[in-house]
Amino acid sequence: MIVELYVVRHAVAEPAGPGQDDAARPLTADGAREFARAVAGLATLGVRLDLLLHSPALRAVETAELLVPLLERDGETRVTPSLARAPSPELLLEIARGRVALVGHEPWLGELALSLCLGWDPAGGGDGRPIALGKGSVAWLSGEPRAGAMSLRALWPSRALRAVGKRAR
Amino acid sequence: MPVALRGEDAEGVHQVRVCAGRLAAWLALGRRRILWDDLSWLRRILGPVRDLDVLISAHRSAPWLPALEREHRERRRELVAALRDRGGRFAGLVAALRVSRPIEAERARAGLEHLRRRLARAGEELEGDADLEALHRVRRRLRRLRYGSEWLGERRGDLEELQQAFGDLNDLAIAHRRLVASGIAPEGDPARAKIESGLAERRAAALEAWSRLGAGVARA
Repeated sequence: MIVELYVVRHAVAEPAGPGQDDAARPLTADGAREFARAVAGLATLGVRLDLLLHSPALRAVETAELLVPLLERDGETRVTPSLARAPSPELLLEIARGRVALVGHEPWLGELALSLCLGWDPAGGGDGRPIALGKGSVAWLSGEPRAGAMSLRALWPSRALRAVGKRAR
Repeated sequence: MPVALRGEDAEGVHQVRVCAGRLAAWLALGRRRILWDDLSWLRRILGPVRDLDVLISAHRSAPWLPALEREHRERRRELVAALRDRGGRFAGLVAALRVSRPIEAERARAGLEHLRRRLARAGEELEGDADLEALHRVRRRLRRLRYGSEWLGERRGDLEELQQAFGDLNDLAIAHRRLVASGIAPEGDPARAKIESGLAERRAAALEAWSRLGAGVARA
């Protein structure tokens, strides 16, 4: 089944305070504002979602909340611990249908994208480098969600998405 | 949770389900969409276990009890597997809730007003000959408004009374679906007759409670 996959790194988050759980870091106010503008850019580009998967970390939850306007009426959101660790076969099983966004963290998202596009295995050594996603940036992949079977259609830095959204207003 | 997992006391599953409902109302106060579907999923896997707990307890001498008990064992297995899966959706939900940010009071008040308006709109459908689905819609929105109010420290007797009346109707509707509509309890079965006559009574009681109290809860 062909899936349109939007790999989204969470937006800019507060640094961890002393003794604070890394998973509890919220987005900064600017980070949230900028990502909301990036989402406007995604909307301008015609991105719609059937499924929105996200890590349980607060910065991923808050980033996912900002993507909700792109969700179809019968779309679904789902929290998954698979997006809070290195890519696994379990994650690919969750990418079930249509147009899917994954909201998570580097370097795992970059490793996932490289694995899906080129079949790269991070555990296999070699000199492969993951695709580096900036905060609030989106990689658009298309194809079957398995190693080496997807194509990278676009890599949208957050700044570019904000510009697209701004031009459309 | 430990009580729900052990399965010796049906109250465990019931309380986890109530907790999921309260958390969903909390999300609704903040107009938050993320985690909503995960809580709905949790309620969907808890629901059948709870329904069967209630039915089995109420019909211990029924000849069709073994069929319900078989289904109950299967549903409990699925539920326990989901709750114990450390890499699964429930674990993710708990992790996300643990780090969730509080909802600001002003936003929560606006959210409560939104819940009240949604209940008022659903209540308008109860004019005339309302079908069961319209009554269920009111029941769900009553539950959310009641739990939302309680999150803000407001306890309202009228909401509790309405939720009880609509909840009693729902319990019987579930029994009807599981035992009568499914064919498990055949014609002439005493449980079936009791459910069918009870449905009309509870429907009337829910509508009477709404006619008496609905305007008050639906008004700002």
